[in-house]
Amino acid sequence: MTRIYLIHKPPRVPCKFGFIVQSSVTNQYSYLIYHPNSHVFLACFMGLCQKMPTCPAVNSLTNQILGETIDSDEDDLSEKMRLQSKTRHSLAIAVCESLSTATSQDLLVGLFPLLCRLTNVENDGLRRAAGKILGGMNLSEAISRERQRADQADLRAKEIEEENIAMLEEIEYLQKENEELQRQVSGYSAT
Amino acid sequence: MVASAFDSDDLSNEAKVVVMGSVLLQYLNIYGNTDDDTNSKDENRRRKTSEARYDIITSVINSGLEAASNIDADTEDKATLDSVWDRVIETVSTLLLPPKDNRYDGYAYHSKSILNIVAIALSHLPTRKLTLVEPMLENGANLAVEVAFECNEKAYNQDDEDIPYSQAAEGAM
Repeated sequence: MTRIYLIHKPPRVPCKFGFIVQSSVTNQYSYLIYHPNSHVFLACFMGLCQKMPTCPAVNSLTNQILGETIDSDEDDLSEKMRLQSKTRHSLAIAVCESLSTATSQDLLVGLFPLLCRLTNVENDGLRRAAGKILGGMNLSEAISRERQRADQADLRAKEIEEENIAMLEEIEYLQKENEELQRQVSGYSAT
Repeated sequence: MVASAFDSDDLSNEAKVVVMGSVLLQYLNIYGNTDDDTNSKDENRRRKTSEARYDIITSVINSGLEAASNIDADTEDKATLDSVWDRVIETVSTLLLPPKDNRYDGYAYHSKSILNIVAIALSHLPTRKLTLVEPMLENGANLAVEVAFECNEKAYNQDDEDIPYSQAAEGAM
């Protein structure tokens, strides 16, 4: 299995099967050691997760691979389908391993429903991988951040509403003043 | 010789970058993607791809990019090294997006080297170049998924026994 280590300093020389990346958020270096039989997809997807976690590709690939894995989780498969299912599970585990190294909580919060569904699949490894991401998520922080954002939006909406009421009153006052002036003008022209 | 010279501290950063640029150019001339130029692809060239010395290329890229990062950090004129970064990205693209007529070799024989090269490139590329890397990684991931399923199918059907489809499927994942 792929093993992931998070360390604070990079090794002096990248090791043969190593992958060193620095988180833009925490400035920590993630140093990954790979299983010798798991490579190209993992390299690409992990690179996207760590360097560009908010890019659309991460979301679309995650939804595609995890979504297909959940939908195709069946017991009774032919030999050929079993082989494809095994590949799908390996890719899904690679996705989960990569996501668990991502530092973007926004990305993980967005994938929360999908990850919850993943904890219900037959494959043990996949369930554990999904559980590991869910366990590492700081949901209370995400919720309080969203609540704060909602409170700020409410406050701003109230301020705008008050401004709007004040402006309507101003318009009403100006309209009345205008009518009064027009009356005076018509009075002058009549005399 | 080039690889061992790169490991010594006697070479300046500039020299390392120049040699890396030249090695990558040579690599791209021989193995670069030329889907539009299919006439130039022959059996001999295909065989050579599977025998390419990725260990040397990995070592050269490793030291060359470290040197390039050092220069990039010390210079105000960031555009100076743009052609070097672009060539690195082109090389990694060639590895991740192999031509259709030689689709499985890299995954079957060189996936570890591809992984190392992608890792080294990503750890050194400056942030301003990441926009170029995003589509490359996305396409690389999509192609790897496609190849993994395709090779499973071919391995199951026992198509062309000369090609190690199971190995390519594993390398693609």
